[in-house]
Amino acid sequence: MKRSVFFETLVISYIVPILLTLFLSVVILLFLNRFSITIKDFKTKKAKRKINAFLPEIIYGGFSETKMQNEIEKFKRKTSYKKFWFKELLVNSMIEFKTNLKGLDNQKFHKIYEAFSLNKHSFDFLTHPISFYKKKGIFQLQMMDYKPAAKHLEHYMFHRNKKISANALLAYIMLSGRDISFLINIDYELSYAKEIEILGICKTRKLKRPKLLKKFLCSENNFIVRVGLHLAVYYNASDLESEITTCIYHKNPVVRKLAYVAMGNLFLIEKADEMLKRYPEESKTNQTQIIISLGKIGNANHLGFLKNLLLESQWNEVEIASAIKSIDSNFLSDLARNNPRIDSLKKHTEEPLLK
Amino acid sequence: MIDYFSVFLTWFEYFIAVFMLCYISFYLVLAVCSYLAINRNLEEKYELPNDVMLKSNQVLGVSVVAPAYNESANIVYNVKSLLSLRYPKFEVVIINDGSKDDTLEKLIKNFDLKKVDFHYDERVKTKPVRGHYKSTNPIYHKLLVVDKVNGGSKADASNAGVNSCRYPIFICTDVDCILKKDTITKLVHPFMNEKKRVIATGAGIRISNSCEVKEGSLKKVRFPKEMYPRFQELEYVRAFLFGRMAWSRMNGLLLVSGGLGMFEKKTFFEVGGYWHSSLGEDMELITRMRKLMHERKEEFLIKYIPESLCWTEVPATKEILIRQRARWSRGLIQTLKIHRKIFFNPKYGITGMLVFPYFVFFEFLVPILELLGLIVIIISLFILDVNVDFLLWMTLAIYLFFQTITLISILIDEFLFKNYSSLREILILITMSMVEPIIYHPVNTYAYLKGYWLFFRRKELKWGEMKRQGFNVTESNK
Repeated sequence: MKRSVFFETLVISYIVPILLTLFLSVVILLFLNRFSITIKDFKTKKAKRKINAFLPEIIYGGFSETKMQNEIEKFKRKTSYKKFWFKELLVNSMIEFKTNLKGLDNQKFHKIYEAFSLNKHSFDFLTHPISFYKKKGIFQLQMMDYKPAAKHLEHYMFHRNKKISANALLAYIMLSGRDISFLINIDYELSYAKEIEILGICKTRKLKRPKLLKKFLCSENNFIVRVGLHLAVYYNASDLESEITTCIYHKNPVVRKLAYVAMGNLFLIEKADEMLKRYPEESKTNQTQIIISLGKIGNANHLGFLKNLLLESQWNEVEIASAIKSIDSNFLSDLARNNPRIDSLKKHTEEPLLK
Repeated sequence: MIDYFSVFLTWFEYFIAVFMLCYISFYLVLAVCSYLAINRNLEEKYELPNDVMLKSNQVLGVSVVAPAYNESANIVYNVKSLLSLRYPKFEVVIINDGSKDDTLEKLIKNFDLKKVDFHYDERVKTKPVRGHYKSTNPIYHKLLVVDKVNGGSKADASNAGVNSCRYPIFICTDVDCILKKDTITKLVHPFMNEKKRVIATGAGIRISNSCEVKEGSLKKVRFPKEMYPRFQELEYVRAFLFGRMAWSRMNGLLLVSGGLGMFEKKTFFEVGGYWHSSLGEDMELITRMRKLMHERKEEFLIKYIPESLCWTEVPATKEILIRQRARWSRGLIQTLKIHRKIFFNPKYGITGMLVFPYFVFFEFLVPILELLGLIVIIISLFILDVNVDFLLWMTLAIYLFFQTITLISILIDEFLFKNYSSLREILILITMSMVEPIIYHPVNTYAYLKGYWLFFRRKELKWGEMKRQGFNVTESNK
């Protein structure tokens, strides 16, 4: 009896009122949030219209230095440019503009960036105690392609938060434009996404081949070796033949795979036999890569090996058939005779629409 | 007799009290995990692949696999929409699953398709494939059409698509689903950014019933106009933001929606692909993938992205909804039965000790307990002196708890993604949420119980055809 009274009191006097308060608070929060979105929307739409009219005019208007300064001052008077939300809107509009339009005058663009103290706005984020804002600052500076920021970013490359350091590293490579040999000193591993971003920056920024590329391939940091192998292909570094070949014995399977890719793309013909010797010890993914590379650097001596593989293989037969075809298409035709499976593979490899 | 019932009732009350306590505690844990997961995702906002990476051909290639059965009306726009996704390295594989209408003819005509000598490697057994088609028009070079004999299930068609695709990662979707342009980029990001091996990713799905669609692309997101889709909107927001994000944080996702999921092809083949006799092939596949990884003692991740990347049409009438949910419930029970050895088996780590028991107790058992509770209350009201006041207070407490959970989900969604356009829509959502337990929940529970009944009576497992109402098309589409 006592127990049921206790439960009744608990539910009626405490649980229901608490839940009701919580429920009503969430409803009120929902309304308040919606009101704030509506008001903010109204404000930002109005400001966005002004920014969208101002930016193309100032960038493509062909104004002289003084005229440009006057136009900026005029715009400042018309808007609440000192407000945080306005600065955010302006930076985002400029980034959008920069990403979507080609052939922009960077200098002019940066003048606008500085005239509104947006560079300071982005730098302020860097010193913010919350990592989210630090990343935001790095992002803005990188997307604005603001080169003077490179020196500010340098020490963030070694920040204890790995995500900040990774972002800072990429931004630094992009903005400094300097030889990326300094990567050899990086002691942390980054993801595959960052790996290809570095390669992308080297391509788009037309960065010179790193002086220490050779050392990249011998680094103890797998990430640096992987970047090195990508770069070796991009810079056509066939002089690093022995270092690349050493990488096929690396303990990391991804490094080995990239080494096979590099051997194929750099046409290291003399190393084909050595690469082929690794085949039995490799994972399926790497075996497939060996076959693909062999298609590029293999010769008639390898046809017997490929033939046996093709007759037995259950899983990478299209790659094997393609490799045989690229070495000797007649050999594949002979194999296809009286063998419907190989004939089907042959037709697949010959189909131009499937290339 | 009444004495026996009284004793039963006492024990039943204790059981329900403990059960509810566990259920509510679990929900609170999920809420915390969901908050942490969403917070982490927000933190990653400035880590997403930037412009440089989107132009790189070094990114992982992705195949978008979409089966089509009798989709003649919208197939051309739908395929164009898939082809317009933004990603440097992808292909679109459409599987014509023996359509009885002119789906294939329309594809051939509109995309200049030509039958090619494709070597079909049947890694997962499917119904015979009649041919593969590629476009002679370079604009559509990313398109591959697979024509096959109807296999009676989406699983069979998807398997044929995955057998034919060339890239190591694939997205499985429905041809009528509308994907956001950056869907591939967002879903593939964990595959390229996580240190552990990622075997699948998923993202939020929303309702397209009243959305404005032009040539297969989403022009304006609109809140559903009909009652049932509105309820489902609530359900989806709650399930995706509250449930799946939390499971993703714990690496315990057992379900990646059939409407949109990205998978690693290698693991997919290792587990034997989709099981074509399954009625819940999406959940069943993930269960097998998890099982395999645990058996091999390999570390893996299944990640979820809180953003809505896919819009799909949901049942607009009660009848179709019941049919769909009954199928889902049969899928659930079928998967739980087949993989019962996972249940509380420490060999399967979090899957065996937490995820699977959760699905057994809080997904499978809940509709049965609800029915049982209702019966017990009705009998008690007739034969016992029930404290009706307290019963009503308890009902109110539970009602308020779940209302709060639903509204918090809407608040998170509003706060993060601002998917709704006006105060009116928020008001409608709140109203729908308040009447949901009275109108929608009983229908849903009935559908689940019906599914269980059909499963136990071994009624033929048959795929229901969902009648599509089509989208709100804009002028140029008419």
